[in-house]
Amino acid sequence: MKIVRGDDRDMPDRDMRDEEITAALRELYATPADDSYWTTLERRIMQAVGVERPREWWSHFPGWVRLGVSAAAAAALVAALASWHTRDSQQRMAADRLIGPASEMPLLTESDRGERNKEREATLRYLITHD
Amino acid sequence: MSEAERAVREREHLLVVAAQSGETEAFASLVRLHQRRAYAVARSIVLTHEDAEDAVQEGFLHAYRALHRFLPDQAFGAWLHRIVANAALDITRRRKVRDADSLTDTLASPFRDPGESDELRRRLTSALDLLGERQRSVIVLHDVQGYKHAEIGRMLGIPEGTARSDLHHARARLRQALGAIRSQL
Repeated sequence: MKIVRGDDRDMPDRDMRDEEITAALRELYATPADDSYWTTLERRIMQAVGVERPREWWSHFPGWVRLGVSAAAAAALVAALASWHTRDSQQRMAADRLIGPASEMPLLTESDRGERNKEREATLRYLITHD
Repeated sequence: MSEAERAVREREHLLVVAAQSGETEAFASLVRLHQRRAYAVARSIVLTHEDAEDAVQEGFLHAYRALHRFLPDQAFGAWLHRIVANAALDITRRRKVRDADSLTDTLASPFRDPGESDELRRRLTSALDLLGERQRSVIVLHDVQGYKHAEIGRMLGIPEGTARSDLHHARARLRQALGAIRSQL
C-alpha cells in the first residue's frame, strides 16, 4: 500500500524510489522511543523555565522574615497616623492661645456683607448723579 | 473534528489558560504533550540530535515568555511549532560551519542513526548533507513529519510555492544520489 504523506496528491514526480527514500528518512529522523529520554528532556525544559520565572522580591526571604516585615510596616503606619493626629491637635491649641478660642471671634455673615454693599452702591450712585 | 480530538483540544485549552495564570504544572503538561512533535520539527531543521534538543528547549522557553500574548482559542501546537522552528533556524544560522568528523560522531550515537551499517542510509545521510539547509528541512518536514506545503512555508518563513519547489528539487537530488549508489552496489 502506498502511503501518501503531507499534501502529496498533487506531486506527479513521486515514484517508488521516493517511497524508499522516505522510509530511510523516517528511520534516520526517528524520534527517541525511550520514555525516560522524554522525562529527562521535560525536566530539563522545566528547569530552564524555573530559572526564567520572575521571582517576587519577597520570595527571597523566609516566611518568618516576611511576617515580621509585614507587622513592622503595619506598626509604622499606625505610628505615622498617631503622630500626624497629635501634631494637628497641638497646632490647633497653639493657634487658640494666640488668637483666642474660635467662639469669641466676630462672625461676618453674608447678610451683613450684602447690607454694606447696598450702602456703598447707594453712595456711588449719589456721587455719579449729583456732581 | 472527532470527539476525541475535541476532548484533546479542550484539555489543551484548559492547560493553556492555567499556564497563562502562572500554574507551572500546567505548562509542564503542555511540554509533555508537545515535546515529541516539537523535537521532530526541530530535528527536521538542524543537523544533530543535540541541536534539536537545544532548539526544543529554547522553543519552549520562548513560548513560556510569550504565553501571555497567545490567544487560547488558537491551535497551541501550530503556534509552538513555529516558535521551535524559528529556534532551530537560529541554531542552524549560528552553527553554519561544522566539520565532517563531528557530524559523523553525532550520527553514530543510538538516537541518531539506528542503522548506520546500512549502506543506503549512510549514503542518504551524505546526500542530505549535499542539499541546502532549507531543502533538507522541507523534505523532512513533508515526507517524514507529514506537514503540508503551506504549513512548512509558515514554519520556515518562505512562500508555499518555494516549499513546493524545494521539495521537488530535494527529491530529484536525493534520487540522483541514491541512483548513483545503486549503480555502484
